[in-house]
Amino acid sequence: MATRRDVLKLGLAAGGAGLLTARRAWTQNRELVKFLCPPDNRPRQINDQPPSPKAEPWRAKLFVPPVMPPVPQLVPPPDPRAHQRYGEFLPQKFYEIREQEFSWQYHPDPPYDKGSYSWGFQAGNFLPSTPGPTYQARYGEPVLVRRYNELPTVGRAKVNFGLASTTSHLHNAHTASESDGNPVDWIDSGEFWDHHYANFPAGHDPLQKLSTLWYHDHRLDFTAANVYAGLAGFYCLFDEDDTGDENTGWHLPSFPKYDIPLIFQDIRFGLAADGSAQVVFDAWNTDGMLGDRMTVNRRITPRFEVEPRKYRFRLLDGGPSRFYELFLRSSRTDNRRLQYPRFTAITGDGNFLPEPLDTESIFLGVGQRVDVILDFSAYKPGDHVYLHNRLQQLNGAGPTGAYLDFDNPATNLLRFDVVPLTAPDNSRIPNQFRPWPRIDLSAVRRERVWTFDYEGGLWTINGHVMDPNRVDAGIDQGSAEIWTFRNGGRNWSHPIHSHFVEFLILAINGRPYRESFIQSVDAPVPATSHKAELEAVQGQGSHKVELEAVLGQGSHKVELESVLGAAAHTRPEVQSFMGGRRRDVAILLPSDEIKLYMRWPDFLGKYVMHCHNVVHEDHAMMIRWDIVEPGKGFDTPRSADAVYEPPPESPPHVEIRPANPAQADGPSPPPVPPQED
Amino acid sequence: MGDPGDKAMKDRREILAAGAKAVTAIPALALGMTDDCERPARGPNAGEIPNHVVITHQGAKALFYDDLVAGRMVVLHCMSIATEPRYRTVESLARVQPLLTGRLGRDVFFYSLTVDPERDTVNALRDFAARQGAGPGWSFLTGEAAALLDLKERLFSHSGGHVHGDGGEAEDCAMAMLRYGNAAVGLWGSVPAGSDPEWLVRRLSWVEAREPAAGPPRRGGPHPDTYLRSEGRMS
Repeated sequence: MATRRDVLKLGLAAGGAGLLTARRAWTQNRELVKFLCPPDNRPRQINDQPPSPKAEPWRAKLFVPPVMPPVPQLVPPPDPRAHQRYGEFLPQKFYEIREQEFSWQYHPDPPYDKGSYSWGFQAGNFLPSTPGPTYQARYGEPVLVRRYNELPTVGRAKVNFGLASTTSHLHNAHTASESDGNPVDWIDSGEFWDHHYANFPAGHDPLQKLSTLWYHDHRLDFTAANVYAGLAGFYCLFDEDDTGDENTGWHLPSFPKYDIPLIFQDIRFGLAADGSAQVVFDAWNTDGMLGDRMTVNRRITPRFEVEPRKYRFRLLDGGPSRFYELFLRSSRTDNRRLQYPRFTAITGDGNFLPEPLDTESIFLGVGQRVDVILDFSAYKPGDHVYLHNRLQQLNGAGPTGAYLDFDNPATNLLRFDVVPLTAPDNSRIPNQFRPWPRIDLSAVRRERVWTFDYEGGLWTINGHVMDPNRVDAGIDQGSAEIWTFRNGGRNWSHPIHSHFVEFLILAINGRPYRESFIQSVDAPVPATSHKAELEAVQGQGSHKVELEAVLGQGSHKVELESVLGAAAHTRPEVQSFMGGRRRDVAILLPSDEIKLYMRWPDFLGKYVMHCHNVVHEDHAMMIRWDIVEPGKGFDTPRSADAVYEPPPESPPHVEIRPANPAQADGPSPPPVPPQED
Repeated sequence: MGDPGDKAMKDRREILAAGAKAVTAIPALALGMTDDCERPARGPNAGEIPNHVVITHQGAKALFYDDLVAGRMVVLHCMSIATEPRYRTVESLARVQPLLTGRLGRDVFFYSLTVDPERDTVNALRDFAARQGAGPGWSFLTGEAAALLDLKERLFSHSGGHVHGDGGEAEDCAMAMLRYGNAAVGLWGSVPAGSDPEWLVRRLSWVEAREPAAGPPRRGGPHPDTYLRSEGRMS
């Protein structure tokens, strides 16, 4: 019996002999309409697809990732020659983390109870999870993380949309290039990579310290798929102020019991033939993907028991494409302040704000983090406080700017269930943290403009798309530069992330961002037009809540004494917090232009800047920039071969990997040198 | 076996065979077909990739998913003869072609889908393919305009309405992109068509099915000469 391929082969062979006139060919084509599958009611875009199976909100329990356990040593030992400045930052702790595939329960009810195949991380005696274990790192304590790729190979993985070839970026660690998780520094299944995290602030400047980082896959072409599959987790960096102990330092709520990381990811599920719900990925849309089941730490709209006390939550937009604006509402209708509690924001992306501020909402683009303090001390056991995302988004290109009502179930994220206090709350919210790092304009060597646009189905940066062997910017080590990010589009948004260091915003849409500014938005109102609303969200005159003005006139004196039973304290208050002045993700809403200051000390090598809508990133909105020796920087893009000699900087795996071990044994591992004393 | 669906499938095969052998296609209605469309049933992308009838530049009819894509490693892209000078994606694939000798036409296939089926007829595409030096395993596809449009919109979908800062409509078609994938696995990636030809070939190796790794874990990196390079071996 002829197989289909035989039929095709036959067709190809015979077709070549059939010389058709154009007219006859066209006539024949027209007959094909009879063979044309009619529309099958399957929408073209995942965003319009049938909804995921129903999932009752507040049924699932919040998953809190375990704290990453260290191991006494690594066998074989790390190779000091493989790392920049290894001897200066000898690892004091070692970790082994394993990328694995497993069944993850997103929700306890059918069909989710059967589990859904996911990728994530495993360490110590913990079961593999997504998000993976949370690192508890400390400034002054360098660590070495050995990451094993133990994912099933292509063709064997149940998560068939991800590529079982991984590179893990520690977003936005101040890390040497070879430990950064560059998109081309991948390992295949059966291999490991050593990440040396030196845990010192950029330029040894204490004002450059960071707090909430996260690790996630960054594989060239497959970042969206691999992160969506679950390859993400948190890395919390502490120091003598932010100690993780509410009895010392700044007295922030203790890690990990009262200091909880929360990653928001919107996932779409389909019903599989076996009756289970499986994660659905759309490989065909270039604008981005939206899921219809909102997950927090990979549980669908979960609940979390809290004591009537202060908590620190580390909020992270884990993508792939959705923007969030988070609001709180509680079951306490007797008191407006308790019904609509405020967030106290303490960080923006990785860094502490100069001082905490109270805000009605938190705006997050993909990759952005904000740490907040939520104080439940005025609530009684049995009360509920709900976390909502009210920002409307209809496709991957960006938010519409409109707000959804609290009662819209699509806004549901997380419910806090207040339970009795078990121990005194010794945590405090300090009045001040640390000032922004200094801007040293005398160190500025170059100014560059990056325009983010769209052409031929590709997302472009200055007309270019990602080429791992093209260096778009050569940056003098130790120098500063002024970069301008420009959105070349009127109706799409980009969260733009650059690796290695955080930047300081100088101006948004031509308005200087003075020290006293807090990025903020006006009161949310239903959108009258997209444009108007987006302008209201991002600025065009609304990043204008000056701290001085707020403190001087409009500041609400937050009467915590009367409301919360604590000592009275005045904090600046804004309507919406967009991450503050110092960031590692710049939110480019339509037509926006953001000017920023950045400085690159300490290491050399290749890094990337890209859109953190990871679907845009995978459709090539990414450029490589390199830190080069002082004086050797350059402006126009160059081939890496022209920059490095010899050999051109080549990732270990640019060679074609054998598809079958029988075909080749592959390169033998490099000799293991003795460990440095 | 024996249900009406199987019958329809068998008929379709015969039609394809007949249509390919002889240029006189048998009217579908004469075979009792109705407008109910049988979706492809096999493979992980069966529900996603349309199974439209297309015609190759060699004049053969084929079901796009069943006959061309299913079970194979493929590169898909949109093109037209008229816009090739602008996007040069065919030129890119022509540079990749010699790097895949022995694979292209065996288990790797290129499909160049015209977005201009009225002008890019079988004859026009045949001449064009010859000029580009397209060998076995590389098919230029034309056919009913609705079929080609649906393929483009399914495989290169977007939310539409892209407007540049100057107010001009952005080019929404995916003319500068290649989709590459392994339809036996359901694994798909995207790459700018202008990428380095060797990197395009590497990408096919990424999505190729492979055996589990054997033996103890191997060190994958970083490279042991990092510290040397970090001392600045610049040209």
